[in-house]
Amino acid sequence: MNSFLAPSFWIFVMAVAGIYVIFALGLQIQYGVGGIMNFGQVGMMALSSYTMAILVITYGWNLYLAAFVGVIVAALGGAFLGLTTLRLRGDYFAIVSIAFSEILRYVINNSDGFTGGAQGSLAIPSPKGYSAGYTSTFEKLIHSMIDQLQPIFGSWATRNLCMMIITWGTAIILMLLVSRLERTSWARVLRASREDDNVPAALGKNVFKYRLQSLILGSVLGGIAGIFWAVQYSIITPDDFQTSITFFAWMVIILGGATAVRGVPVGAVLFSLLYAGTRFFNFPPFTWLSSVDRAYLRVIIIGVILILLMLKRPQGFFGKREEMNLGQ
Amino acid sequence: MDNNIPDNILTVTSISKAFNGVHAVSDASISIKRGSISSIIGPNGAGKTTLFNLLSGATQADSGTMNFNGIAIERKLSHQIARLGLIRTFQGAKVIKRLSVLENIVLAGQSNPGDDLSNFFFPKKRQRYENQARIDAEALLETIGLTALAHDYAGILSGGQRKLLDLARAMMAKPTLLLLDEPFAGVNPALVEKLLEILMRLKADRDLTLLLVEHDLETVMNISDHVFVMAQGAVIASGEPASIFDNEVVVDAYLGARRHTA
Amino acid sequence: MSQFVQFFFNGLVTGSILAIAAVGISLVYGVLKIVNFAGGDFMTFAAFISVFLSVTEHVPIIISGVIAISATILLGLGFEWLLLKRLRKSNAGTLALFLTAFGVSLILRQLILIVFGSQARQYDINQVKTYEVFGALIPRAQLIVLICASLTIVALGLVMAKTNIGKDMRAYSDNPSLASISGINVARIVIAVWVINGIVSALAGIFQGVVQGSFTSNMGWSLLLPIFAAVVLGTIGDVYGALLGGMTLGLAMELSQLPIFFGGVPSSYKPVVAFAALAVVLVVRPEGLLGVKARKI
Repeated sequence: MNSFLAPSFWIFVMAVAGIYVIFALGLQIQYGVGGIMNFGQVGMMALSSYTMAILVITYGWNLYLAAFVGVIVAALGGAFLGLTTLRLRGDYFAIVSIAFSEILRYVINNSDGFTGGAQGSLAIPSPKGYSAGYTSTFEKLIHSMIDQLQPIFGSWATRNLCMMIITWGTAIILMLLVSRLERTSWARVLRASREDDNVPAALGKNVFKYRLQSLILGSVLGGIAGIFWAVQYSIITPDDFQTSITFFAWMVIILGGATAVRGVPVGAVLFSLLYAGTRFFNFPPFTWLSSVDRAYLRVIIIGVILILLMLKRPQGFFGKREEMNLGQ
Repeated sequence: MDNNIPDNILTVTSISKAFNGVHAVSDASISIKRGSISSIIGPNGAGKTTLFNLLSGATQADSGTMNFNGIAIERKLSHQIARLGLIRTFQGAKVIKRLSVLENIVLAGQSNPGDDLSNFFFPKKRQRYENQARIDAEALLETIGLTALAHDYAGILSGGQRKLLDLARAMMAKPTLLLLDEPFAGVNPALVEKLLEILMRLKADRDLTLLLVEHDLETVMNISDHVFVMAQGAVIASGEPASIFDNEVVVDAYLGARRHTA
Repeated sequence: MSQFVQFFFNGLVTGSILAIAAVGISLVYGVLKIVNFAGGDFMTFAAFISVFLSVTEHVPIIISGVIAISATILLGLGFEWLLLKRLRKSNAGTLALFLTAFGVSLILRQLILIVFGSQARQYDINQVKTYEVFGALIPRAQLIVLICASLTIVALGLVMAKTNIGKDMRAYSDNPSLASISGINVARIVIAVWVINGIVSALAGIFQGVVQGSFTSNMGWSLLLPIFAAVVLGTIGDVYGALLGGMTLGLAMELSQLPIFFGGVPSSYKPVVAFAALAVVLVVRPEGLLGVKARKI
């Protein structure tokens, strides 16, 4: 059990949790405020991270500029999705949003000459002729950060610690902004239209426009999460962007409660602890299984908890029950 | 006649709408004089609500034109029509339960800078509007007598209170033409009195034209300057209340309908 | 010409499997109003059970099939009674139903991995024998699948049209309140839905396993979007539509490889044809080829 307490592992978990906060915050804007059930959010991550990777590796762009453009591409993806399909009924939109992210993933997987295909960013064509990767600029930043943190944190000053600080720092700023946003009259119009589309429309509000905006804002956040994911792992492959990621993010939202921003970090930490913590279960039935099978059992536990939440407490920790059931 | 301010605030010409081959509204034409109170009456299924839906943009007409304040609105969407000043209330008074009573009214505020995302970084501008909107909303709340419930969830209101809220909310949207969809339906006589009184008071303070769909013939008789009678999708009579109620065609339409449904 | 015959035959095979699977999804949606995200994994479940029984345990293939079908029926009923019933009682919204179905789908896939392992499975049948028709190669195994699938489709059509339970299901799916008032036994319909779903999912899974040659735990999940496409194309909730949608989509996916379509869609992009079809149908005509209305704003 002693690796259970190893801080380096938990710092890694928290770094990834930070990314999930940003990703799930996007869902929170879309669902908690806009009432949109978007199951294609992982597609935005794919758009931003691949755009950045290709711009850096194939075209030699500066990482930070490429990241910025990546996020814009994610926003455009959200705009495209919304303009074409947002007028559909909730459950139909949910399905088509999955089709959206799966089409993206499929195309990425099969465009070898451009995206590296199934091998991911390692195989993105580069004028340097070898898999140069995209993180070199970022690593310099990390190194200087580590130098600064070493006096304070000693041996704990690792890359993961820096990532954790960066992701959570960004997440906190974004959460503050989004909280503010959710207290504006813009959000009020969306909350009203979740209950009844006709009332705001009869009062002069173009409900579709507001919904589209919330979808795009959520996509921007998804894009930012994608960038962080890409630099955290230094490599991206199409398999990183499967629909299950979106569902894990939904679980984050459900755990923390979809209606309030403050639920998102709670949900993200809980989910990460759950997913990572089950790695250390050294008792039956885990001990009966091979290590490969244990990984599957951990996902089963996630699935079971998700179902239990839906049965017993769909509003999560901070949510109100009526919020989950009122009109969508 | 001044060219810039038409005498008729609303002119509907030969408007038609069919659903699955059935004509809900067929070739209907009405004109509403600015500042008047008009009512549409008729048996159930006559097409009154469909006409309202056409006027407010909830449904699109198959043919015909509608002219509001000199602007053609037959192809406009509901929010665009509302912004022009044509506001409607709903049958059954829809309130947003998850918002407070006060917020329901503030929601109706027009040209709210806070609705525009580009103003997110200008909190002072947004706040200034919100403060003024609150004051206006509180005044309306006062008029309808629900000040004590300002911060409660609108879901707790009784049916009659919801009608009052619906009215106040509509007023907040600064209508020049207000469409009231069965405002007195299912309301006890005492509340009808109160609603009427509030309605008249609100109207007196503003340049406001009213168009009601209503079944309560006595009230219609009392308050209307003009009455339209619809039956089977068409406007079968139009004129002052007294002449309408003597009109044989009208009586026939009502009795005929009753014979059908009896 | 031979290319056309080849793609046409493949299209019939793919289409018939999609059609059968689509019936399950469409029926469950039409009667129970839920999108069964676990539908694909029901197929995989049946395929693994039958391949395990017939290949590893040497149970005759017909009996393995029957056992697999029964297990899938039980799975569906379990899903209904343990989860869906409770969710409905607590007035769960669309999101809760979605996420629950997805949870079940995830769990099923992991269970299959734990119990059966991750290596690809194959049925113990002769995949090599082929017939030549107009220059196209028709594998005997796939021909048998096509015949069985066609029989299933006809049987489904007859059940829905002629039997009382079929008529009741269609009536309930069109207008639930009217149907229950006019005395239709709703509990019986619910059971019937999961029985039929079990049969069609299992058959579709087994057929797909045979046609694919070898398959893994992802088999059903990767077919789910094309199945949804078939369902929506044929109008969600309409069984005949599901059959029509499935056949149409299968043919479209295969025939899209013909050079007259922009030089021919590369075969690895066939699923994209299905995904794109799903998206296009939902945007342009969400009510499907046969239906009424599905828009919001």
